[in-house]
Amino acid sequence: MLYKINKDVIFREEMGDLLMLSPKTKKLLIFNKNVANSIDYNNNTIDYNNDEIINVLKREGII
Amino acid sequence: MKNNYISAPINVTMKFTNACNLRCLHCHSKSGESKLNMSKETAFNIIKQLRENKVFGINISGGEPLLYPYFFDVVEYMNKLGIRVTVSTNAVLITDEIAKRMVENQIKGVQVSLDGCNEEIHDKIRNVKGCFKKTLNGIELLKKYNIPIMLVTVISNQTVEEYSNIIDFAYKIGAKAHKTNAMLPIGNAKENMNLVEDKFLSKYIEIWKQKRNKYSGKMEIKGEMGFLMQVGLEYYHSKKNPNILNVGCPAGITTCAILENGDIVPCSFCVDTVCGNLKKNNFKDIWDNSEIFKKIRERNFDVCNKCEYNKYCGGCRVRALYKGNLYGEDSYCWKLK
Ligand code: SF4
Ligand code: SF4
Repeated sequence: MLYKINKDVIFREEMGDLLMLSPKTKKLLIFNKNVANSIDYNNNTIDYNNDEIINVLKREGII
Repeated sequence: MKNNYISAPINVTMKFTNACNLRCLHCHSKSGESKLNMSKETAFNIIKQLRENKVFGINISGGEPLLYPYFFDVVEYMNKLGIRVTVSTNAVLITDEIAKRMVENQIKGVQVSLDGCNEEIHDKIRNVKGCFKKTLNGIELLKKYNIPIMLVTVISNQTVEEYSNIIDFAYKIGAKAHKTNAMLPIGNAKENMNLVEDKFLSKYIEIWKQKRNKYSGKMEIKGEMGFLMQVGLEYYHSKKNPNILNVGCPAGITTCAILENGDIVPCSFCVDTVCGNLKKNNFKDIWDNSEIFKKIRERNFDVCNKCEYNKYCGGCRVRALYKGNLYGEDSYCWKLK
């Protein structure tokens, strides 16, 4: 599924990991390569199907 | 990880002022002697650059940050840009109004320095009579507004005697964490290094381990990174996730500090190692191209470069510089003792 990433989320990729700062809790979240690969940096979207991860992203106000 | 290089630091410490209301014996800034404030315009410009480079967090330090005339202006701006903000303060100046504004501006945590749980020792080290009571009052106000508190103690011959009590005290007052900083040979501390002798080190480690077990799951007991032994060893042996964050000394790798005059230095204690100035160059340029940052990231330091723990430790550059060579050995290296 394709989700839009909130505009205030700070995120970047380092060494294949995806680092994101939750705008809600201000926690720094580190995701592995799979999640990083699903990001479209030009459109700020994430295309991902793992429910567990998507729930975390929703809970933290990222998508 | 290629040369320990990431595109921007995870966290940056920003010192907006050198003014301070205390005169601590271990102060790494010699704060209070001059009263240099960063202009509001420069501060906003730097914060904007940090956001553009996707820095996740800024810790506002000092001097005493609450003496900075634009303190809440910069906090509001950081917050607006979605940056995680924490503050290091002696808590003496915290009023109900200030604590309330801190919570309104989503300050995620406040580090409060405490060197003893009684007036006598804390006031002696902080060099101002009556500051213990005021600090406790500040802590109470932070608690009233549910702002997470981390107590910080600078460990020395004097404070190691109190270390155990301070941790118990931290738990009693509901702190989320207790952290120790090493007394490093910079600023006022340079003239007071008689407070640091090797003999307290084993006592410190013993207490740290004991308390860490006692408060496991209840309060975080952060060991002194500058003493490195636990950090290096634990990561080395666990090898759980040897990622970019587990690099031992983070200076110039996952962090750096910006001083009130716009200088960029590798960490908030490396104040004599200037890698560039933000009034002349932009942040990204300095982060990518400073020769000092590049060399620090190579981690080809004397002694460390032959050490199996190098990747997870790397020694402390402040102490190496004190002995005359920024890229030399760390005089406190636990392995060499
Ligand atoms: S030699 Fe350097 S890397 Fe090794 S333990 Fe000592 S300080 Fe750490
Ligand atoms: S140089 Fe490294 S170990 Fe030393 S104080 Fe700075 S961050 Fe800590």
